[in-house]
Amino acid sequence: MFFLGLMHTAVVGFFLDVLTWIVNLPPEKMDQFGIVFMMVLQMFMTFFVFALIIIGMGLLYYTLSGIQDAGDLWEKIGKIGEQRKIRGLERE
Amino acid sequence: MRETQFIEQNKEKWGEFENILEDEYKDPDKLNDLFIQITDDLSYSRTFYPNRSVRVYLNGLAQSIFHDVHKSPTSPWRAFQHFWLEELPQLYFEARRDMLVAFLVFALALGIGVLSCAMDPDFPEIILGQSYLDMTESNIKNGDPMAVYKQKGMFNMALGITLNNLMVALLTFLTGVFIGMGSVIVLIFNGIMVGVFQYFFVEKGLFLESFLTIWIHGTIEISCIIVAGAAGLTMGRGLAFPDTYARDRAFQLSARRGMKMMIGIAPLIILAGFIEGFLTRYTDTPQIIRALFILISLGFVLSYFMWYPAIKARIGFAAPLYNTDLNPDLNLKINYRSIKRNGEVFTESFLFLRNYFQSIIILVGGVTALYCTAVFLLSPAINEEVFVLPTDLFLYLGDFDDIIFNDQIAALPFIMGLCVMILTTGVNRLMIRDSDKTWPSWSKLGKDLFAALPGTVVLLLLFYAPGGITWLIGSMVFPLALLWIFINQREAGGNPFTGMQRTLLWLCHNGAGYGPCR
Repeated sequence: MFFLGLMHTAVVGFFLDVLTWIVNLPPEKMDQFGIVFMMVLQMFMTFFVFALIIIGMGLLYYTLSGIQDAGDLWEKIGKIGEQRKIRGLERE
Repeated sequence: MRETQFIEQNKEKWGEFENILEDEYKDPDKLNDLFIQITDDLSYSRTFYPNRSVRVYLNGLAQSIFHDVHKSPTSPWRAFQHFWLEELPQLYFEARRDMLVAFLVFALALGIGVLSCAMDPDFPEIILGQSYLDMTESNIKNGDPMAVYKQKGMFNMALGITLNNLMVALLTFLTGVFIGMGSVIVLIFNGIMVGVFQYFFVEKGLFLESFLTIWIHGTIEISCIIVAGAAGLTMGRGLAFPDTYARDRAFQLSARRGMKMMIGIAPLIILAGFIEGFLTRYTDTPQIIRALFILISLGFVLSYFMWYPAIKARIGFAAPLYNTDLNPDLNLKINYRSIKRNGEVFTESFLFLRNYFQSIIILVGGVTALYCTAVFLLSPAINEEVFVLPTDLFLYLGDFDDIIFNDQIAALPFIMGLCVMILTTGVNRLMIRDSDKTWPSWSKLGKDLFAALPGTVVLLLLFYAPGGITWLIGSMVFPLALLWIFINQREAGGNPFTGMQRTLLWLCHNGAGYGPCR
């Protein structure tokens, strides 16, 4: 929401204004550029947020997989007793 | 060792410890060393001089250090009090230059607004819009120039204004990320708007009436916008002038400071919204009462943001603000085997994004380029009719389906489908690579893309049915479809039925909340 909210801001408008100062294009061409620019920005933001959601769901897969298969638990069971050896407690 | 010799040997050290204990600010590391040494000495004295006063003395000393080290945790009320009466005033004091700059920029913009309005009679139309001017002029003719504040119900108006002001303040702050320039621009824009708005009434000979109405809530509201601008400048300064820190570290610190400053103004923005919704409408209140209210508001704002921090700085703050809460530089890795809470999944999504930022940006940029190129090649003309461009966030979200199903471009669902398939496959392959520590083979790419097809079709169909039902079903099915795609690519070997079976099995085991509820 914030990413998309940032699009309709004075900053984006200001950027387009600055472009009009630098590039001398007819007004209709400039309008078209504005539409293309906003369109690209809009789609970039949309796909970026979508990518974040995909990442979140990917991570959720591993959590669900962990609950189902208890891989982490099996790994911890395998390590029982190892930590004491590492700390040298066995020698004491 | 004789007792006198023991005392003679250590008395200088104990004296020094006594002095440290009396200090207002104690160094925790020193205190820790002190505690260890004193308990050592106490153990020695308990062994060799159990019935002597030196043991009692050392026991007393150890006890007082123990109390200092193991202080009971601060109560929530004390933490609350500390934040509002110590930490925030200190932050505002340290950001006093940013506050001054924000105020000057706003005041200058207000002046520009007034001057522009005075020199160009058409200027208010550009800034406020013709419909607003027409409405206000009609209100003036009807003898109630401030009728705009009486149009809606009290609560609805207060709520709407509060949300809008929170959004404006947040925008003023967030745009500070562009080394503070964004905040300055938003401040200028708002300053010009206020100047024009105020001068518009001055021109109509309604200065006093408008002033006493607008500034009832405006005093707190505008002060908050200025403080939000200062918070944005503080954040941007960290990025522009990192000092001895690495740039990202300096930015982390300055953003945190700015965020705290924003927390400080949030209740005031809500208060200003409620004053505007509930009190501003009573324009027949005697002028002296309204003027008094404005003065009290101004007094409060000046006291809390300027006078109190300055006084506290002169007296001395309870504890200086150290930048000690900075996490060490770590190569953070995601543990794919651990079971995560929903909050952890959210945090680690950003961690994954950070670790693979470049690849994800290239991927997102690629599908954006693909989509936009296809759209502009296929659309009959480049105009605003083709898509709803985001002039308003909520309007945009409501018309989101236009970027998938559009009357002017029949092939749009296919283009979007292809983009979704590429994006999901790309991101999922990155994650599989990160978890399995090996790249999925390129020969599997076609199979992976195909595995994303059924889920993609479901995702697109969600947007086919317009209206509220889309959002309702979408919020439940959308994550499920993405999970289905991931399972298809990760373990079902592209067989959508096996993938669906596994997805539903997990759903049944873990409930509709998907994640573990701990």
